[in-house]
Amino acid sequence: MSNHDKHHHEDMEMEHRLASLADRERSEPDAGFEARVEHAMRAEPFRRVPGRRPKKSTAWIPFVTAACVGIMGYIVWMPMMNRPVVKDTAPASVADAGLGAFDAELMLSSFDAMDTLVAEGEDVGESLEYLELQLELDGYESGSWLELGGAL
Amino acid sequence: MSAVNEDISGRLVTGRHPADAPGEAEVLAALVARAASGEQAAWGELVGRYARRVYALAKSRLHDPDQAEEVAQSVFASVFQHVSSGRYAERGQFEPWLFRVTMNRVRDEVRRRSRRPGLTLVRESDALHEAPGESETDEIHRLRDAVASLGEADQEIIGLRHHAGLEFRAIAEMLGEPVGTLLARHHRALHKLRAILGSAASAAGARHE
Repeated sequence: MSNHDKHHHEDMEMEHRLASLADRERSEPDAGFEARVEHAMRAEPFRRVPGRRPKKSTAWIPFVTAACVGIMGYIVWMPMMNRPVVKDTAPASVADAGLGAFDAELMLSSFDAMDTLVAEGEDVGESLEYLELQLELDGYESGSWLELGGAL
Repeated sequence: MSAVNEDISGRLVTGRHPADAPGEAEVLAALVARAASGEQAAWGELVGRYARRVYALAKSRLHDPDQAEEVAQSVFASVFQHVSSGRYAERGQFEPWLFRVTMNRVRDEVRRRSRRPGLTLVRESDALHEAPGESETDEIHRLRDAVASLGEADQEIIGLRHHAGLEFRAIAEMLGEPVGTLLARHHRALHKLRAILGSAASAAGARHE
């Protein structure tokens, strides 16, 4: 047998085997196959007509998903619910910023309180001016705060 | 190559399927025309002629009977809509058109699977390596595995030629490629199949020894 004839024979043999496989595949569907195809063909819109291999039910998926979400929510939120509630976070943050109690109070004061503080500051300023005037009138010259206090 | 051409050319002339025999093309065209006019019996005949070939082609690529049947149903649903609405114009191209629709559906399914590789692996492994049934001979099982291990282009030509039962002329019309190219591809695919089956047989023989 020549090489050509051998290849030809092998090709024919393989084609025969493939034809057997194809016949097997075509005869695989059951007798109701054509009826299901015709039924699905006319369905508008297309809906698959279940055959002899019913798909496994997927009805459990929404329930399991909801349960998983609930469990996750419980795991995430319960520790947050048990944590002590911290109120008045602003002063804490001010304290964290390293400011003194007076500064913190000042920052949180109302406008009226601010006005009072400013007014008091003006009074102090007037007092100092008065004291300065008195010292000039009396002609005191002092070298230290101690002498000045004694003179007054 | 000339031998293959001569060999295949002989089959092209003689024809292997009813639609390729003299006069059968006209019979099929008339059948499609009757179906287009809404005749139920014509649709039944078309389904009887082609549904199992469509199924076999889909099964050869998807390796899953359930999905192959779903593809067959969706293909005929699409064909029904196109023919009934007059969007398909019969020009003696019904078979190539039908199997082009099938191949498109199969490719869509393969792409869908590739996006979910876990599903692909499970289903293919289940389908390909399930224990042969009582009626499933070992030879058929090995051949099916060998075809599945071929490349996509080789599987396509084997599926269209043998599972769909199309002539090379129809495949050429369908794929838009010259007949000679398809003949060469088919010959190479057969050669690869022989090699795969030969190496599998050698491995099996070595295990027995």
